[in-house]
Amino acid sequence: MKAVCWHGAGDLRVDSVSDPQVINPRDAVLKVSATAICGSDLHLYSGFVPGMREGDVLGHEFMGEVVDTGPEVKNLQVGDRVVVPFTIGCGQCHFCERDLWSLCDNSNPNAGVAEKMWGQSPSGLFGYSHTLGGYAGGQAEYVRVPYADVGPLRVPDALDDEQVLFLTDIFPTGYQAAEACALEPGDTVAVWGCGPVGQFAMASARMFGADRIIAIDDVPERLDMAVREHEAEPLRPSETGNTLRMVEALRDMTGGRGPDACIDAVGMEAHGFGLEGWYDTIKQSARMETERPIALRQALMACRKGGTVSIPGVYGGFADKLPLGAMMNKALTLKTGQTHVHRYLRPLLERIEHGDLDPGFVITHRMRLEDAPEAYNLFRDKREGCIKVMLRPESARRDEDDLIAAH
Amino acid sequence: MEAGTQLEPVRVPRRHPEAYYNISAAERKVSLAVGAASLAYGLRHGGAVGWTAGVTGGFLTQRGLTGHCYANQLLGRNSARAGDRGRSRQGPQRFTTQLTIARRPDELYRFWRDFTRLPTFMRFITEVRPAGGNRTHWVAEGPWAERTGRLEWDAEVTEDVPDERIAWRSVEGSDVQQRGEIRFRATARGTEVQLDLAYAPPAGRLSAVLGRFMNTLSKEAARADLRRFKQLMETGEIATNATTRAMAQGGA
Repeated sequence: MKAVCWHGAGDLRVDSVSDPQVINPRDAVLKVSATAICGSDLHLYSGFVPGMREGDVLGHEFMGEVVDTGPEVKNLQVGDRVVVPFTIGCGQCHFCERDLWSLCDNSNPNAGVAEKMWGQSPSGLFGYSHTLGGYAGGQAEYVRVPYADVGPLRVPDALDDEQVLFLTDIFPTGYQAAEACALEPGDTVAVWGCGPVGQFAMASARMFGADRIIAIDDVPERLDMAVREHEAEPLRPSETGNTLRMVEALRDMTGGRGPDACIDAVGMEAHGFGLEGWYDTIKQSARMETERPIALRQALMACRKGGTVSIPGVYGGFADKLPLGAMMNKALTLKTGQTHVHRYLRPLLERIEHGDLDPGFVITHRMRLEDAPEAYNLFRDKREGCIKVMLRPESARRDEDDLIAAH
Repeated sequence: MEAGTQLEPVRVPRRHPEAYYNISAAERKVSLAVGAASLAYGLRHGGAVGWTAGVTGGFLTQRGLTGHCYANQLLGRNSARAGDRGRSRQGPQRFTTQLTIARRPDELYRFWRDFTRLPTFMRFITEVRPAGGNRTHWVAEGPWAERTGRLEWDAEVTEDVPDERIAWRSVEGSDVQQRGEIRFRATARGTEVQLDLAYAPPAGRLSAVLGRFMNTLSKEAARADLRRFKQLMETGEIATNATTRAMAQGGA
């Protein structure tokens, strides 16, 4: 089959690799109908996530049709159309049983490596480094899905792929980030990063009753989307300046209080200004820190006293010059973690069915899986107004044409 | 598929027996780069500092070019092989590791008590079969056994407290001297399981195979075995990132 394979920083290729098979009794194999490139895939593409190996298949946002199941998978049948959570959870450990699926004890076969890096291992993820399991991802024609008896969710035929694909990651991720803010009536939420996760965080903040939303980004079409879709108030870092100026600007927009909740939907590759920007760029390039935590610094500094800083943005290792003094002395609450996708699948599917939200609004590019290397470049460089790329394998397209022809 | 247990083979024409190359490909590159830089610095500057840099650089360059390290040779260490930490590790070794498993002690005890099931989750144990009475016969195969084949020994149960603990030990005169103990303790968070493993080299000089075997032992390896036991007990299967059955069986 064809699959998007990592060959080093900045080097992706569509290779022919072996078709995946059912190995364990609780496995399923899917024929992928649609997949997407996540902002966090760009961290892999840039080479900032440790534990990648040549030939690794990328992709953790995918859906498709069940083509094979192991003997223990009683809830799915060949032909079912499903979406798959990007976090892999066994459903039977201490954490899964408490709905903390991204902390699954059993799904990371390389847990020893993660224990060395972080003390304990979180769940495995699809296509996201050997530290997080080394599982082949779904930017491919087929994918093996472990614990298919508890992960994949059947989706109604009335909803098309574009409406349900983002249940796999970015919609629940934005939703969990907003939920973590524990918003109260009258609250103002500031969101760093207006990429897809930022967009869903803003949409979800509205669902939780945010009074005002401040959208922080420098990419015009992303800010426009935030204003258009979520009635956010735009703030451009390039016009505001460094962290101290950003804090001032946010104070000035909120009656001198600062935002009640701050969401960092940027993560490890934020862009800074002036000396601060150079400092992190140089240290990250020399691998003296793994993150450029500019958005997080600003969030900690800007957040109102007793407020919440929620971090859906991905970090991997160590960051410098984090204002812990601000965190401690202002009694901030920090909420973060990979998304417990399983927990949100059904409730968010219901919201989509009710028409509360059509997640397809973030898609700007629809391309062939075979064009993934070009798609990654468009997305990374934010060219052609690229906010979200959906990929379809050529074989899936042919199936669709056949279906249309048959009718 | 433990990450980091396999290094890419060094792809250079071999002019020496394999054992001659005792540093890894990455080390060779670093040696070459640092060596060449120090050598260049030394040649340009001179004086005590320059001379020191030059001579050190020369040694490092040679180490990088040949792939052979005299320091490693003296220490009996081979860093071209993952997990090889040298002769110092070939004395008695003991590892203790713990995990909490969401199953009752009696379920865990029952599974472990049937030693023939240990190979399903112990990476290098390929077979355990009953050998009469409270004895079992163990077969181990791993990276140490390339040419000389397998390691085998008999073990006997020395302590057996149902639902609490099982201890075993290789019988006297075995090549591999192993003592093991597994303990189960019920808590509010699940059953805390502790695995103790102790190995001692046989008296006298170690054979190459036993030496390599001793070098693959580590707390991490014991913990990985215990983790696979937990996976099996909690989920009914052992997590794998393989995509094909052939890959899964290769255990790569």
